[in-house]
Amino acid sequence: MDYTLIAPYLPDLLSGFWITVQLSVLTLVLATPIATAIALGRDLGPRPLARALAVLVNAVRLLPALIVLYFVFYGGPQLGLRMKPMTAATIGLVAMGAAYMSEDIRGGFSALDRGQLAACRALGLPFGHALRRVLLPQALPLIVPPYMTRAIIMVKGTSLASMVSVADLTAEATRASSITYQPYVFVLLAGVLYLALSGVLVAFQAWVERHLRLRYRLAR
Amino acid sequence: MPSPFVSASNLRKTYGDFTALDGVSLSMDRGEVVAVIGASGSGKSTLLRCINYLDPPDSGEVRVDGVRIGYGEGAREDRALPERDIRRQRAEIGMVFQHFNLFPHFTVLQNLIEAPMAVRGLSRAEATERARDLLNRVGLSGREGAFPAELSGGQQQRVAIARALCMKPRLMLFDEPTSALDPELVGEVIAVMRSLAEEGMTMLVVTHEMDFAAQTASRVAFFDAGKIVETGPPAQVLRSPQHPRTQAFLQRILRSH
Repeated sequence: MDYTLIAPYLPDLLSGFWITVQLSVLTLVLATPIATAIALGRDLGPRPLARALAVLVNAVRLLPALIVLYFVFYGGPQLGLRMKPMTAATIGLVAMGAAYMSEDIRGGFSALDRGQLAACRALGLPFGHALRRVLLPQALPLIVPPYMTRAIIMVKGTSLASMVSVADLTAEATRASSITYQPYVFVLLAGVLYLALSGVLVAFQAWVERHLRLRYRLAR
Repeated sequence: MPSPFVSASNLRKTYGDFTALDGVSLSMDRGEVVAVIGASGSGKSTLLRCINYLDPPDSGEVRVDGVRIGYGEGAREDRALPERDIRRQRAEIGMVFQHFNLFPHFTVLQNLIEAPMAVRGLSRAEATERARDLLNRVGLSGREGAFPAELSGGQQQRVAIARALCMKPRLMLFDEPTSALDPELVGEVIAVMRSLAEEGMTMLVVTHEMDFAAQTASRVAFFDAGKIVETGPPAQVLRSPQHPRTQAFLQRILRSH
């Protein structure tokens, strides 16, 4: 095993890793509010909206992520939507992520007692206030574990972007492997970097759960 | 003749195929306590939720102190209000729920001051002072820092009543306030409601507590299948009901007691 092989490819691998980090952050940051809106729309919105959202979520949820990415990247231009690989990958991943995460968030909200919202409304509290002060604090401890699991899956799922010519970590590691015929080295290195990235999320989850426990310790 | 303080006229409300309110009219004078009795599922709770527009009626109108709920005032009375403005009207009407619906992650004090601060714009100090007064009135001084889960059901319901009163409502709606309580805790909640009635609060109370209806209500309305079939002073409706449905209901109640 020749580990000195890594050196010439290290800049490319690190730039691939940086793309992966960007793609991960972008996906999570964009998908989370969309997912929250979908969850609330399905739970509390007027029936036609709730139905439309359910159809949309299932359509995206039931498709393989790669097909969704192919559809955006290759199908888009046919419809006159030409975009950079990174943009196409982000759109596809956000669509997938939002669909899945909306289910995780909806699960947390539907576990809440309906009377909580009724009480807020009866007191004249605006919905945004009720959400922020009453509903979310109670739903969050239920949402965090499935949501964070999903976030980790989404981060790993960004490797699919390599299939639509995004030069992410997976793409760079594969490229180096096929030039050097040393997949062991490069795939191992890519694995370690993915592990580091997901590890950050696991640490974040532990921190959030601890924080929520302390804050609402007396509440349950 | 002065117009009534609260008037609900010809309210209708359906949920799919189920008719919860089938043309209900009810009026109340200021300071009056009306007990609404009737079997489960007869539409009693829906009536309350239509009066404060938690669930707007399909048709009919509600007026509290002359103002039509859900609609503009004066010349704009035919215009439906957006939720934002209905919210302001709703804040004038207190509501107490069967299952208390206290905010479990807030202390008792926080439960009371949240809405007065957010909706009425009271400062924390003003709201806290008002809250302490009310907690004293419902016999819970000193429990400001407790969380709802640390209180008994009766105490929780008294906190819920204080929470509603903290908004200084002009009308109080009670939706089976003692139905979720252990029998030995019913009395303390009834006592609070009774003292509220004595202070002149206008109250509409859906209840299965016939003693409360008999002793505290100025009028009893009997609900059956989405309609008020009989209304009158407690002595009349409870002792010598005219409608066969009322008679059958009261007989069932008496047998089970």
